[in-house]
Amino acid sequence: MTQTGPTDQDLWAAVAAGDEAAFGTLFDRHSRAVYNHAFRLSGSWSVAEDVTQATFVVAWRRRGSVRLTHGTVLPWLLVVAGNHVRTEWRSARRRRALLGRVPVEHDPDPADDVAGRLDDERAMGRILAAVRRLPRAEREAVALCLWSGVGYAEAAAALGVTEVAVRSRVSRARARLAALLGPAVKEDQR
Amino acid sequence: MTDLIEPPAERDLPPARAARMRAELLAAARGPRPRISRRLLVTAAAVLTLVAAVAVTLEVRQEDRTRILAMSPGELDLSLRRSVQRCLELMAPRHDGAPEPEFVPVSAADVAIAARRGSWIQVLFLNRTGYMACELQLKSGRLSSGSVGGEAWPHRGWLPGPVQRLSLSSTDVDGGSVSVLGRVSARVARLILEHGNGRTTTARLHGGAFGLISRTDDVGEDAELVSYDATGREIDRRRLLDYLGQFPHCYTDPAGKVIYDGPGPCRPADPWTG
Repeated sequence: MTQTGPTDQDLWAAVAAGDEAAFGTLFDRHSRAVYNHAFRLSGSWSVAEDVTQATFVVAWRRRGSVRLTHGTVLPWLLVVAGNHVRTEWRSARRRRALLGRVPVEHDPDPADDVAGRLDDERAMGRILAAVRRLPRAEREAVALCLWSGVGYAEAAAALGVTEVAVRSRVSRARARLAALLGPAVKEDQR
Repeated sequence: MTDLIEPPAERDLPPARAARMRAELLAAARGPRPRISRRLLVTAAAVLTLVAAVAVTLEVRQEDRTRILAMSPGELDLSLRRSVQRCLELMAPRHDGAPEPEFVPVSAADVAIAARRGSWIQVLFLNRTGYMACELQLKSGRLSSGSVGGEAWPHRGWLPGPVQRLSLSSTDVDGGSVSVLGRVSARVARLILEHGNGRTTTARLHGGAFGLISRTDDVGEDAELVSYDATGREIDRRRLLDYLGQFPHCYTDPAGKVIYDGPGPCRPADPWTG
């Protein structure tokens, strides 16, 4: 995908100087990726909304102390979102978001595909049941590199580890998942 | 195998919510709103319809400033007793095909703390197996939304320092009006929330649990929970709203094994006798 307009590096420099318009542009550019990343880690679209907002609050707050390493702010935003999901303010590891279960009074949004979103949550819940059995570092690597398409080098910089470590985590995660899901696959094939 | 962990297709943020979120973020970035000029105020007042004025008046009248902090089942008022029942209902199995979370079984007798801050209600259940935290929001007295969660104790008898936050509710993502519930060790004699602007709120302590509801809605993003021992000495200080790590340090059991991850050097975990 070709990115038009100012680079993240330019925008981030402007944000660091307090430019709200640049911050808005960064939100427009990356909020979808953060939202989907948060969903894949939490299995809940409503939690993903909260996490997306919280991630950008942190981005604004830390604008003066974060330096981009590969010209894009997205890997760092995804790592922040991942930390939010893990230490989510309501502090529940096995939290069940019930906003879809009890009547919620909010403005109807024509983009709301409630049934489709519930299907997504069920499907993601099944995937997370397996992925959550991986060590945390491997889960992060799977989410960043396999699901959100972040390059190994960018993921390494955002996580503060070496590129080799990220590759190794992804590789170990694949092997573990194959072992974990192998019996399920065989069961399905019967 | 890859197909089995292939997540659902990506979706857009619902446009109305994305727009609202963007507006809120930019408003937060701008800081406090400037005062509205008198001329603008007069103009705005002139165009307000009577219906809108009545609606605003009703909204102001209905603003709920109730503050209740109950530290045992015996202290629950009617609204909190009903809320405990709603929480237990929300934890019940759904049988709708979705994966069932591994919730810790709890009952009304396990209520350690229940807090009501206006329309927000939190209930913390503690028992020998684990904890469950429940958060409800009421609108016009009816349940509007809720969430429940918890886990079996990874280390029931040990705390990550003198205090462990288990449930936090706040009006804003970075503070505002907050209520906090959790566990404390026996060496904590007093627990204070420093709002970050000189104001403080003192927590109630009971049976190894703590609860606090901020007295004002000005808790800042740098607010801290500060623990004092019986001599009045400060023994712990930690950020309330810490997004990037649940614990301020790593903590070890008496054998030196790390039982709570965090930045080093590690500190000894506090025993919990609640």
